[in-house]
Amino acid sequence: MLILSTVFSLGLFAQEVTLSGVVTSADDNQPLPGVTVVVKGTTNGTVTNFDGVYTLKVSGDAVLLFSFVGMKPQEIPVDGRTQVDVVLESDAFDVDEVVVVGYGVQKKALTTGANINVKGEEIAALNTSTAMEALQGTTPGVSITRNNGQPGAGTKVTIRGLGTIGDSDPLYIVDGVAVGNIDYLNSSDIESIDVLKDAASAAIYGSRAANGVVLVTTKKGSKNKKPMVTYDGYYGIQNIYKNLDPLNAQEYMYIMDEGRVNDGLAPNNWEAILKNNAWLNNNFPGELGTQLGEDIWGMLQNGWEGTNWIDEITKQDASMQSHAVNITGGSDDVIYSAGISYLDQTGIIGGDIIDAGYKRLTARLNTEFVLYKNDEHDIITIGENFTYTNTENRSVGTGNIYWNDLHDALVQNPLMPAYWQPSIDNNINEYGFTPTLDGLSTGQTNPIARMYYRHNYNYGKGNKVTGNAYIKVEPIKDLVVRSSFGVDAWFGYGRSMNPTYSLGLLYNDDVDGASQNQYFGNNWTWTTTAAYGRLFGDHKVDVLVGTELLKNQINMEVGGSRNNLLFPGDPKYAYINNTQSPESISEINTWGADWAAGGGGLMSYIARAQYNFKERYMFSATVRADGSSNFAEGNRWGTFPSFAAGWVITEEDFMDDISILDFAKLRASWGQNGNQSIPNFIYSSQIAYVFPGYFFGDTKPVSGTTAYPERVTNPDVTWEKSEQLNIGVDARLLDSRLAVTFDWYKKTTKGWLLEAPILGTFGAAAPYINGGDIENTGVEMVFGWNDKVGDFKYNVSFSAAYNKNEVTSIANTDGVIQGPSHVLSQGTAAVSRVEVGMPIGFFYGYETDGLLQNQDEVDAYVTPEGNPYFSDQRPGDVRFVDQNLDGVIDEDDKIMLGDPNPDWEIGIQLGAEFKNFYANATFTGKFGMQVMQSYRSFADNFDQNYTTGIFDRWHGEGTSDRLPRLSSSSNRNTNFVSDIYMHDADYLRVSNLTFGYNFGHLLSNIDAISNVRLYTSVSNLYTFTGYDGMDPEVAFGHDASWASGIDLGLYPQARTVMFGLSVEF
Amino acid sequence: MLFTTGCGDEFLDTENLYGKSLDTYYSTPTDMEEAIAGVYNAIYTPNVHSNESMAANLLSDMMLGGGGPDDKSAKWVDNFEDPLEDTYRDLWSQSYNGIARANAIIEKTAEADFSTFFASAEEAQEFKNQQIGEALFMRAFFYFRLVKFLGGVPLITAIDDPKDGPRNTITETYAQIASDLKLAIETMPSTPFPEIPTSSYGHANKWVAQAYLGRVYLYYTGYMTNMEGQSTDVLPLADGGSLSASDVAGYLSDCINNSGHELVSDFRNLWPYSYVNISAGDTTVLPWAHENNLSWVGQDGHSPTFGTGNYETMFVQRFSFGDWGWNNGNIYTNRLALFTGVRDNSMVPFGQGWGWCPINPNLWNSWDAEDPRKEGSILELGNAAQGAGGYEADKGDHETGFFNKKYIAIQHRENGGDVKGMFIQLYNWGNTDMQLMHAQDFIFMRFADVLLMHSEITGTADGMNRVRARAGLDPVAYSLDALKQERLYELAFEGLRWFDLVRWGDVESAFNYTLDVRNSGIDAKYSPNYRSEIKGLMPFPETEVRLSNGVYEQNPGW
Repeated sequence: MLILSTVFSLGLFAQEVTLSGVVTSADDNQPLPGVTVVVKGTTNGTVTNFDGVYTLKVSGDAVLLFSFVGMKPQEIPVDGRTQVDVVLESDAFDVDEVVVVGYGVQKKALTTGANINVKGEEIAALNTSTAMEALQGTTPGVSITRNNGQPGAGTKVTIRGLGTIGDSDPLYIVDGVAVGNIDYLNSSDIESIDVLKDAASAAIYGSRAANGVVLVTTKKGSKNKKPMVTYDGYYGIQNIYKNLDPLNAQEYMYIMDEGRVNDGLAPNNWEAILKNNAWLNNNFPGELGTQLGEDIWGMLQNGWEGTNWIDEITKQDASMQSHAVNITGGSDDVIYSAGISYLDQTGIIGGDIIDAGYKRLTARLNTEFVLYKNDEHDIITIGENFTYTNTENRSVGTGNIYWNDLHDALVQNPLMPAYWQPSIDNNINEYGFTPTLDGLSTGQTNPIARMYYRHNYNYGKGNKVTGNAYIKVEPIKDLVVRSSFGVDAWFGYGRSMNPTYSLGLLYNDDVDGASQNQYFGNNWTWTTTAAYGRLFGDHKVDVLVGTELLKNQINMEVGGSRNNLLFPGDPKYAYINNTQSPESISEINTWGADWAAGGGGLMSYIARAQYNFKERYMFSATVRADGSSNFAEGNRWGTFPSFAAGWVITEEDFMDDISILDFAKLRASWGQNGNQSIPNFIYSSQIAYVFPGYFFGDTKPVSGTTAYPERVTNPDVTWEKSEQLNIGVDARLLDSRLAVTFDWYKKTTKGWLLEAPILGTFGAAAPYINGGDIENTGVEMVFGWNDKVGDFKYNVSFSAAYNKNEVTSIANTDGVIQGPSHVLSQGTAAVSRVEVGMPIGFFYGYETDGLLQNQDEVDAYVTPEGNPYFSDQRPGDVRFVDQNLDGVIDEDDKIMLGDPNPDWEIGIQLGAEFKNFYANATFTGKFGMQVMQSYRSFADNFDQNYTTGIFDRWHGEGTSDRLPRLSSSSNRNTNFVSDIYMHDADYLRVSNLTFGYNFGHLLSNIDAISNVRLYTSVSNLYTFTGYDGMDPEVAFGHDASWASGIDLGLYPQARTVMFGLSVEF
Repeated sequence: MLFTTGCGDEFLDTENLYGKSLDTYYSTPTDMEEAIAGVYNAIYTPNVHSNESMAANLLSDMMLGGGGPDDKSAKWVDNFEDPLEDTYRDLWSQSYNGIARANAIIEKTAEADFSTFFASAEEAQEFKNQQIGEALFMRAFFYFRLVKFLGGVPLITAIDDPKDGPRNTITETYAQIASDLKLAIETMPSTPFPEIPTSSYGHANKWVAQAYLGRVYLYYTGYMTNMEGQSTDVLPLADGGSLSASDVAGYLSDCINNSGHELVSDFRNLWPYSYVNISAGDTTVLPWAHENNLSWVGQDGHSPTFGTGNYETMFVQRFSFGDWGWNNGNIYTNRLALFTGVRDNSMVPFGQGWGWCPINPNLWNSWDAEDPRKEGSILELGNAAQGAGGYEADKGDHETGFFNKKYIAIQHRENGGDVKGMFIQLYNWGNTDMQLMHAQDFIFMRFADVLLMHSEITGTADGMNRVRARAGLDPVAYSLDALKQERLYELAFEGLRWFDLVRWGDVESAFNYTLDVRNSGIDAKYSPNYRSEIKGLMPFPETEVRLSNGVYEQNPGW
C-alpha cells in the first residue's frame, strides 16, 4: 500500500518543471538515500541524496518511477506538481532483488537453480554463536546438525544427503575466497548467505562443488550514504535444558546387587568393599584407604545419597555475551564497511572446573574505491575485503567412550565423594580430588580430576586472516574484467603443562613436563573473470569467462615437549625452557613439517553463458575445467558441465486471466560436479616411515628407522563426480501474500572415492579407488505467508525437505564398509556400516523380539529343529530373531536396524509485529531417524553407574519387554549389538523465541540516535520428542565421519535466555 | 584481457617431501636397513589374539583362558570356540604385509648395485647376500606363522604375482618355506654369533635359519603323519626335491657346532625376574632370586646394556615401550607379559596384568620340585619368598593360584619413591603406564630348543641331556616320551607347547581333564573342549573369505 502525501501547486501540464521531494521508508520514517527516480520511458533520472532528497527537471505530465532495492517500486504521475514526497514500503518479494551466484550476482527472478538466499539480519536475529547454526530449519535441503552443544563445537552441514563417506562438507566461499568453514565470522559481519544446492548452480565451482556451495557475502557499504554506526549486543544465561538422572548411592547399590543375585551370587558387602582400599593404604601412610571407606560408609549411614557427577561438572547460569559494532557508508567514489565484534560463551559443562568456553574476536574492513570513471560508468575500481579473527577455545572431551567427560560422569559410581578433605591434608592431591575406591574396582577414576588434568593446562589461541584485494576494469560499458587475489591464512600457538598426580593404580602420572607448538598456513586464490552483458532488443545475453588458481602455499607446524618442570605445578611457568636438562631421549619429543612445501593446488577455467527472452524464457550453460594436483598426470583434469532452463509462465499472455497467480516460474537443471578431497600422492604409493619401527641392536627404547610401501598404488584414481537433476517451481499467489517453492532432485555420486577393503594378500593398505555410487533423491518445499491486518503484521513460513540416501554400488566383492568397533561399549561389535542398497551409516545388528517373560516362553524359544537357541536361556533374556532360521544366532542374522539420517527435516518461522512490538519464533524438526544410545561400557566395566532409565528393566514377568534382566558380568543380552539400544529420535524444537520493542519513533527528535531496539529471546526453549537422552540431535558418529546418531552422553545444547540491545546511530 | 594462463600444467606438479618414491627405493644400504626393519615390523599385530605367543599359549593344555568376566575372547580361544569373525585377521594381513615387503627386497636387491658404498666388490656382495638371505628367512617365517595356525595359504613370491588366487595346499606352502630357508642358509654368511656386532642383534642369520628349518621339518612331518594321516619323513622343496631327516640334522649339527651359541649356565637367568634385586639394589625384593644367586643374562645378545651376556637366545620379537598417542601404540610393548600377569594384584616384584592364561595345576603338581625350572617358570601365588605373599584371590576367572613367571610384569620401588616397572627404571622411560611398560623381548628360538630338536630328529639323547644337565638333572636314555617331557619343562609357556601337541598327535588326548577353578570368587569346573575336526587349525578370517568372493575356503570345523 502506498502512502502518498502530495503538495499541490499551480502549474501547467506538459511544461518543464523542477520537481523535488523527499523519499522516506515506511519502516522507520527515515529518509532513504540512493533511491532511483526515473521518468518513465526515458533515461532521465537521478538518485536521492543522504537526506533522501531528489531534484529533477520533468514535464508536468511525466510519470515517475521510484525504485530501491528491497522496496516496492512506485509509479507516480507528476500531475503538474513541483514537490512529490514518497514513502516506500519494504517488499518481501522484490522483483529486482539480486542474489549472489558464482562469480557474480543475478536477479532472483531469473535464477534457474535451487538456491537459498538468507539475509544477514535474519541470521543475526537468532543470536547463534555461528552463522550456520542460524540456518538450521530455515534452509530446506541443507541439513545442519550441531556437532554437540559445546561452545565452538561447530556444525555438520550436509546439502541434499551424504554423497560420500569422505569429506562431505560443502564448499564455503566468502567474498570469493574458499575457506574451510565460516565459524570465524560473527553473524553481524554477514550481508547474506546463498546456498547453491543444485548441480547447475554449483557447477561453476566444478571440482569442489559435489557437496554443494555456501556463498557468504560480508557487509559492504553503499554509495552516497552517510556513515551509519550500529551496535548489537546481548547477554545470555545458559543452563542445561534437560538432565540425565544417574542412580544415587542407594539406587546404585541396589541395582548392582540385583545383577549379582540374578547371576546366583551373594549381594555385595558394600561396607567391606568401601573399606578395602589397598592402593590408598599402600601408597600413603596412615591407613587412609580404610579411613576413606569409613568416611563414606558413615555418610551413607547418615542418609548421604552419593555424588551426582553430572551436577558436579555442570555450571549453572553460564554466561554468554556478544557485542558488535558496525560502520557502513560511502560517498560517490568510496564505499566502506567496518566491523568489530566479540563473543564470549562459557561452557555449561566444565565451565567451573576448567574455565571451559569459547571466545572470538573478529575485525573486518571492506572498502571499494572508484579510481577512474566517465559519465556513464565506473572504469577502474579497486577494493578489498579482509577479516581477522582471534579465537580461544577451551573444551571438554566430547568424543568416544575414552574421550568424553560427560560419559565419564555418567558412568562413575556415586559412592565416591567428589572431594575429600584428607586428600589435601595428606598431600594426596592439592585440589582435594577423592582418590580411587580400590576395593570396588581398580578401573574407576574421579571424573572431575580426569577432566581437570586432561584439559586445564592447555592454553591455545588461533588466528585467521581471510580476504581479498581486487581490481575491476570496465573499459567499455557492460564489459567488466575483474581480478582478485585472496588469501585464507591461519596461525596460532598452544602450550600445555603435563602435571603429576596419583589418584589410583590406573590413574597416576609421576612425570611432569611442558609442551609448546605453533602453526602457520596459507592458501591463496587468484581469480580473473571477464563478464559482458547486453540487451539486444528482447534478448538479454550475459557471458562470463575466467580462470582461477588456488595454491597451498604453506601449512606448517612445529612443536616440542620436554619432561621434568623446573617450576613444578605452576602452569604459569610451563614453557619448554623451564624444564630440566634431559637425561634420556624419552624426555624429549619434537616435530615439524610443512605439508604444503611440496606444492599443490587447483587450476581452473570457467565459462558461463546466460540468455533470457523478455525475462520469460531463461537458459544458462556453464562449464568448468579443473586440474587438481591430488591426481596423477593424465588424470588431473576434470570437466564439469551444466545446463539450466527457466520459464516464467506468468509472463505469458494466456496467464493474464489467472489473477490468483502473481508469479510462477518453472525451473529445470542438470549438471555435474566433482570432489577431489583426498590426500595427495595416493596415486603413487610411496615408502612410508613408521614410528616406532623395529628395535635392532642395543638402542632400546628407541627404534631404528623403519619404512615400507604404504599402500597399493592406484595411478588411475581420479575425480569423483556427482550428477544432479533438479526440477522446481517458484510461485507467488494471492497478491504475493503466499509464496511457494518446490524442488525435486536426484543426485548421483559416481566413482565415489573410497578406500575399499582389499584382500590381505596384497600386503599393503588398500588404495583409494573410484569405487562406488550413491544416490540421493528428495523433495524440498517452502510455503510463506505474509500479510497484515491494520497495524498487525505477521508472517508464517514453513519449509520441509525429504531425502532418501542409498548406496548403489561399492566396487569390492564384500560390498561393505564396516564402521568402528567398541562404540557402545568396549568389547562390542560395530554399530554403523555402509552397504550396497542401504543408506550411508545405517545401524546394523540383531533384531530383537522382546524378552522371554516366563518359563513357557523360554521353552518356546527354540530353533526350527526344536532345540533351545541358547543352552542357558532363561526368563528375562532377550529373544534375538533368527532371520535366516538356521537355528543359530550369528553374524548372518544381523540386519539393518535403523538409520541415523532423518527422512524429513522441517522448519517453521512465525513473525508478528504490532506497532513497535515484534515477536518471532523459529521451530526446527527432524523426523524418521534413530539414535543408538549407551551410557555405560556394559561389556567390560560392570561397576559403572546407570541412569534411572534402568528402573524399567525386566525383573519379573511383565515388567519390561525391552531391557533384559540385570547381570553382574558380561552377557549376550547386552553384548550383542541389537535394537534394544536404538531409539526413535524424532523431534520438534522451539529453537528460538524473541520479543522486542523498537524505540525508533520516540527518538525522531534525537539526531545522534536513529533507532534503539530492545529484546529478550530464548533459544532452545523446548523440544518435543519421545527421545529420553539429553538431546535428540546427535551428530556424533564415533571415529567415522560418515556415521552419526551415536549418543554416549552427548554434550547437550543449552537453553539460553538472552537480553539484547541494538542501537543505530 | 588479464587471463592468467602464464603458468601451465606444472603449477599442478607436486613433490612428495615426506616419503620416498617406490621407484628409487632399495638402492642404498640405508634404504635396505629401513626396509628390512619394515619387514620385521610386520611381526607386531594390533589384535592381541593374532599375536603368535598369545594365541599359542591360550591354545595349549598348560594354560587356561582366565581374565575377567568380560574377557570372553580369551576363554573362547582357550575352548576352541570362535563366535567372532576375524580373530586371526591381523595375523593374516600382517604376515602378508611382511611377505610383500620381503618380496620387494628380494627382487629389488638382486637388481641393485651397492658397490659404490663398499670398499670392495666382495663386501658389497656380502651385504647383498645378507639382505636377500634375511628377506628369504622372514618370508619363510611369515608363511610358517600362517600355515601352522591356518593351514595352506596362497603363495605370493614375487611383487607382481596375482593376489587373488586360491589357497595352496599345506604341502605346497611348506615346500616354499623349506626352499626359502634352505636358500637363506646358503646365502647368508657363516659369521659365528659372538662375532656378529651388537648393532646387528635382532637380525636373523644363518644359524637362526638352520634352527627354523629344524622346527619346520618337525612340524611338517609330524602334522602330515599325525593330523593328515599321510605319513612322511621328508620335507618337500618347491623345486620338487626334498630334505630328509639327516639333511636337517646336518643343518642343526652345523648350528650346534659352529654358531657360537651356548646354553646359559642357569636356566633362570634367562628371565628378567633374575634382575629385579640388582635393578632395585635391594636383595629382599625377590628373596628367592637372592638365595639362588640369580643374575640376568640380558637381552641385547652377547654384550647387552643390562645383564651379563646372553649366548643362548637366537631369535626374538623385540619389544620396547608403548604410548597411547602412537598409532597402535601398545603393540611395541610385550602384551604377553601384560595379559598373562596376575589380575587385579599389583605386587612387588610381580605387577598387575589381566590374568589371562592361569597355569594348569597338574603341571605344578607333576613337576619334580628338584627341577629348578619349576619355580623358575611358575609363580606360586601366596608364596612370600616369591614376592607373592600379598596376593588376593578371587579377582578373575579360571583362577588356579599359579601364573607364569617367564613373561610377567616386573616392578619395584624406585629409590624410596613410587613403585615403577623395572624396564621403565632401566631405560629411564617417561611413561609409567602399567600397560605399556613391558620391554621384554619374546624369545622365538633359543639354543636349548636346537639341542632338543636335534635329539628328536636323530633319536639321540645328547642334546636332550645337555639341556637336562644345565638344570642339574641326571642324563636319561632317549625316548620320545622323555623328549616330550623335557620339551614341556624346558619350553613351558614359550608358545611351543600347542604346536608340539598337534604334531605329535597328542592334541586329541591332551584336553581330557577337568580342573577345579575359581571364577571371580565362585567355585567352578574347567574342562576344555578340543574338537578333532579342526585338525589343529584355527578359523580362517571370515572377512577375507568374503572379500575373496568365496575363493578361500573356511577351515573344517569353523
